[in-house]
Amino acid sequence: MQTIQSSTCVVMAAYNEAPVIGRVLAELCQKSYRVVVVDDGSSDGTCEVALAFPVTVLRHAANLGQGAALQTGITFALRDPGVQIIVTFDADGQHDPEDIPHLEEALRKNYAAALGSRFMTGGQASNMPLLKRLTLVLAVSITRWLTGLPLTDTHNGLRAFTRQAASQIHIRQNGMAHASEILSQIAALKLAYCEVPVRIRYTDYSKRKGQSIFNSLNILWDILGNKLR
Amino acid sequence: MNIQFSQVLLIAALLLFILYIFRLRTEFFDRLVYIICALVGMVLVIDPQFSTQVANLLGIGRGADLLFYLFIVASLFYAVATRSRLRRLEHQLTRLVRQDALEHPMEGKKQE
Repeated sequence: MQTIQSSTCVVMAAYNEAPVIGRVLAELCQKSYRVVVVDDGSSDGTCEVALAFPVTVLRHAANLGQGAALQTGITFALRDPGVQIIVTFDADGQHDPEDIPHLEEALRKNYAAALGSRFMTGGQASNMPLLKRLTLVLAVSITRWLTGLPLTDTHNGLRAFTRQAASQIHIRQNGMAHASEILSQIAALKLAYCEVPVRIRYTDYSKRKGQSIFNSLNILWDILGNKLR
Repeated sequence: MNIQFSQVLLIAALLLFILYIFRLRTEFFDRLVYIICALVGMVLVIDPQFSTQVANLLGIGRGADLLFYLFIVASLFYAVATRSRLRRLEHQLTRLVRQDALEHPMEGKKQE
């Protein structure tokens, strides 16, 4: 079946996601999106699993971090002049491809960035552990204060940018602090943004793989270090 | 003047440090700074009263306190310099790894 390729490119950063990335890509590749997977120096065969799907795989020779991997994928996607929308999507299966059209819809309403939110009305965070919820509430309020953006969810990996917005944003935080960095740049560039309710699926895998509560302190440290630089 | 055992040990350690500096291919200026530090250290070990005299001139009671303050300041400089160097290296590594990845995109299987 020959499908017309969408002008939306989904960028996925993956580090040691071999156990799940196949399932995630199988679901995502049912749509006609272009998909770029950035294998961030995995050692578990993530790259080989991804290559079984109709996607482009870029491989980092060393593990740099999710922020760096997203920037590599975005830079690559922008090289294709046919790409008009860039979506970032987590590789661990917590996002739902059915939410992507809602993000695209928001960009069609002239927003430069559409940010997924699990906390706004219509959003969903099924099976979220209580401790995770509390940490996120704290992270959201700190990030709101640092960026000045009144968001309901600041650490959601599902976002969409127009081509123009994506080419203006430069992620320099290689690690997890990129989530706040992107928001800071949206604020600094005065990009029109909106939040879109999305569903986050907390599986045992994503809970194990996700950020530990303690790592949020490291992330805060990175953000403050960046401010001082 | 009677020489303490600790003085012998400290002087030996500083001499070893100087030897080590000469074996490393450090830059001239760095080497100069290290050697001046080591020589000042030797003077302080041989004449413990000297540091106290300098400290008193600056309004600090004991020579040991003066050395401690200087140590804190030097450590701060070292920490900041090392940190910025690490950052630079990290940026270079990121640029290299990214460039390499972008130059070798791999296409997955087209599905029927």
